[in-house]
Amino acid sequence: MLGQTPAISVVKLTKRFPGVVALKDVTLEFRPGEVHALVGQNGAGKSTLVKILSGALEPSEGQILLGGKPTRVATPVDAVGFGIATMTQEMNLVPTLSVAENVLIGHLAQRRGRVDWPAVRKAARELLVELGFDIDPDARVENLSVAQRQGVEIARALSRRAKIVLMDEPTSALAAPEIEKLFGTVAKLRARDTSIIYISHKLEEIFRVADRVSVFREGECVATLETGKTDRDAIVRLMVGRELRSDAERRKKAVCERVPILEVANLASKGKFQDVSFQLYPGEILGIEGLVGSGRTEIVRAVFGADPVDSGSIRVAGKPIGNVRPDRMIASGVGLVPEDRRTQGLVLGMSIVDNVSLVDLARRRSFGLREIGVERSAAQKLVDALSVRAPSLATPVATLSGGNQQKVAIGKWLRTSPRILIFDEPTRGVDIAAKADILRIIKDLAEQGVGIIFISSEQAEVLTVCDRILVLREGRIVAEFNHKEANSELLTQAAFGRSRPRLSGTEVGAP
Amino acid sequence: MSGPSAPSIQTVRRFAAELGDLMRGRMAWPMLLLIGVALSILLPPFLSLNNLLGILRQSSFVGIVAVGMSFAMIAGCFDLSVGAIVGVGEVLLLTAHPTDIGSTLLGVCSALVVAALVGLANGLAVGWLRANSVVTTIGSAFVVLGLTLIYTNAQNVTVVSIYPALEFMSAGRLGVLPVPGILFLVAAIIAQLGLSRTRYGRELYAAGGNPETAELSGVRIAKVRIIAYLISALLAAVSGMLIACRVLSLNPPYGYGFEFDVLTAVMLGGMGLTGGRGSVVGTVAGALMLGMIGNGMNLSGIAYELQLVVKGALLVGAVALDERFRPAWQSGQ
Repeated sequence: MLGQTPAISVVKLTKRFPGVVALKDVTLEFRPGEVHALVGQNGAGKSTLVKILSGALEPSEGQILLGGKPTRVATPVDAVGFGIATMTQEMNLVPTLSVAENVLIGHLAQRRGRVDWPAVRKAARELLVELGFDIDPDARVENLSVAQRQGVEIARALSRRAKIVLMDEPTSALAAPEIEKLFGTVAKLRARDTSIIYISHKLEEIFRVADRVSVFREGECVATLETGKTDRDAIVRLMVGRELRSDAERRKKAVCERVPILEVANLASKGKFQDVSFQLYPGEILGIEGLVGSGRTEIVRAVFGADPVDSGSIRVAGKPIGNVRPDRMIASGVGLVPEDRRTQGLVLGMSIVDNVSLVDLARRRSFGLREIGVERSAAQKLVDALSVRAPSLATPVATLSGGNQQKVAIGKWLRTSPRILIFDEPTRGVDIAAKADILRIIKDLAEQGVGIIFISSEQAEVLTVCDRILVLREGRIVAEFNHKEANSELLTQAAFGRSRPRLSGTEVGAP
Repeated sequence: MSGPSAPSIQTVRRFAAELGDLMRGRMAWPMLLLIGVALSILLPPFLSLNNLLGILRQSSFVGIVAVGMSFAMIAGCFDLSVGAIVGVGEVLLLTAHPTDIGSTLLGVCSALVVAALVGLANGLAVGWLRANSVVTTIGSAFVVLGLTLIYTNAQNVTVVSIYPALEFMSAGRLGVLPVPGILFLVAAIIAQLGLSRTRYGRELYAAGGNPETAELSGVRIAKVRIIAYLISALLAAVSGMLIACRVLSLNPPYGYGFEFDVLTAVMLGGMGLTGGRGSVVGTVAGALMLGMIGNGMNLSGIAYELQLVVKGALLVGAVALDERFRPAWQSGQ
């Protein structure tokens, strides 16, 4: 591969925003048939680079070379024209059109001035099959899963003969098997000599798919390494620029009174989940594991009263809760840090103080008047305790980075001194440092006796954090493991349907 | 590599972004001042104490309703029924022939009760059933207008005299200040304090800014919206009664159409269409701005028909500016 002309390269690329240098003098080559990972904490400059390559931003200085020739990529349309396809977290598909239309949008096959639908369908199906996706070309995109939508996006890139594919956090919304499939697709693209630029916070992934990895820190590219010749620790060190405290797992085994703080019995919601029963104990971190679509989020939302259920009962600290509603659950000491902080966890236009104070509003005191001084000092305390980086308490949370936003979304519950906190994907899309902070907060809460329900698509996280893990499949709890016996293989088997029944003490035989 | 045009494009973008920052609710008062200065230069009679106090009086009728509508708009809901509620308020007060304290109380109470019922119905539909607020309140406007017309046989309603206290409220002065103007400003101050100093105010902004988050934080969206519609409807009825006492003679279709003046005032005041933003401080400036522009057009003898055109263009302009300068995180998901 060495000595080949790079598919695309950047020379001394710099991007300045008022008051910040987002990208400093970056020179990099991306070769055909190479998966090149970009890693770094949020704000390290990777996204800026991707935005420049995809035409969303123009560099302040420096050049982009396409096939060796200096090229100006001024707009996203230019980028597409140059064979640069971008897959971002926010999908660029038209939800109401069919799969085939989305794949071939912009160049639908025509015959005598009319769209040649059979040809369009055939072309789309061929592309999808080639990528290993079994998606009906006539399905509407809005009815597809996230993984299937990504498939459509990749197929579209192929239909435009993209030579360079930018993938920004492609696995953030996928469950393990879908991630495997995506990796298969990446391998196929690579075999076609496509150059893939891959951004991810998950280092495990990078070691699986990438040939080379470039590490960004504070706008600079500090190193480009071959993945075969480096390791996780080395990359983390480069990213943070210092040694991380090794995560010597201190598992507290406080002998807690075994009186459940939360009891869920026979909860069911048609089409989502059935017969869900479990208990949560004070000081326990209970993981709920399963594929995307297995009902994890649906169950915790129902327990919190955000969605209605058809049947079942919920008790908090032994007290039955009738007509479960978020405000009632909050009043009995339950909190939910939802899956999507931007649309469910925060009011983006409101300040840090207002967001943090929002939950406490449910507890009436002082004749409906706000205690502005109290709100401010409480918010300040939280910002300090959670090391939220923000210019001031009055800053709208929309302007904070993902990790800091998540800390605010978590922080608003800490004010209420909850007895139960439910975390749905608390570490999705946040940088490594913030991730570590968030997991530490969760462990601290558990140590203080808060019962925690923890959902994460990163199995490794569930395995290290949780004391007990429930596995869901198609809306049912199919297995339960304690921390000691759980491992990745068992969880995956259970999630896919080859497992022992729930609550047995014995090991499963080898598959 | 970046061509010579690139920096200039960025300069324009940065300028637009700064302008956008200013537009976010902070532009209404400077704009009001600007229009005032311009009108004083162009039209000499504009800048007299009497004329300015006249503008305050004239603006207060729209303004009181606009203060109420601000609550609905901050909650992310339209209230286009306020014109019809103004109308029913006018009619119920005058048909009670309010010449003494008893009939006055009857008229005032019946107007407030009916308005509260309409507000409650709006709030239940939009808050509890989650119906679209534009369509719901247009619908309720027609229901209210229809019932009002049935009640009056679609006739002109006229009284010759009213209870002195009512006359004082609508036409009187306290010192030099017109009483309706004082009522408007007092309502605005109380409303602004309510928005910024009470928990309800925060809940209102949260419910408008992101209903899903608000609900998951224990805010009861239905309750918040019902209260917002109640405030909007009650203030509309109050304004209707003040108008009735001023004109003493009402023609069908009564207040219908008034809602667009109110909406224009609210939008000129920097209220967002999407909720979670804006303030009553801005709304006051919006109402005064609309009053000034109307007054300026009257002084320069512009025909009523043309005034409608100008007002319509103002509304479209205010909405377009909001659309253009809305902060990115509120462009709707």
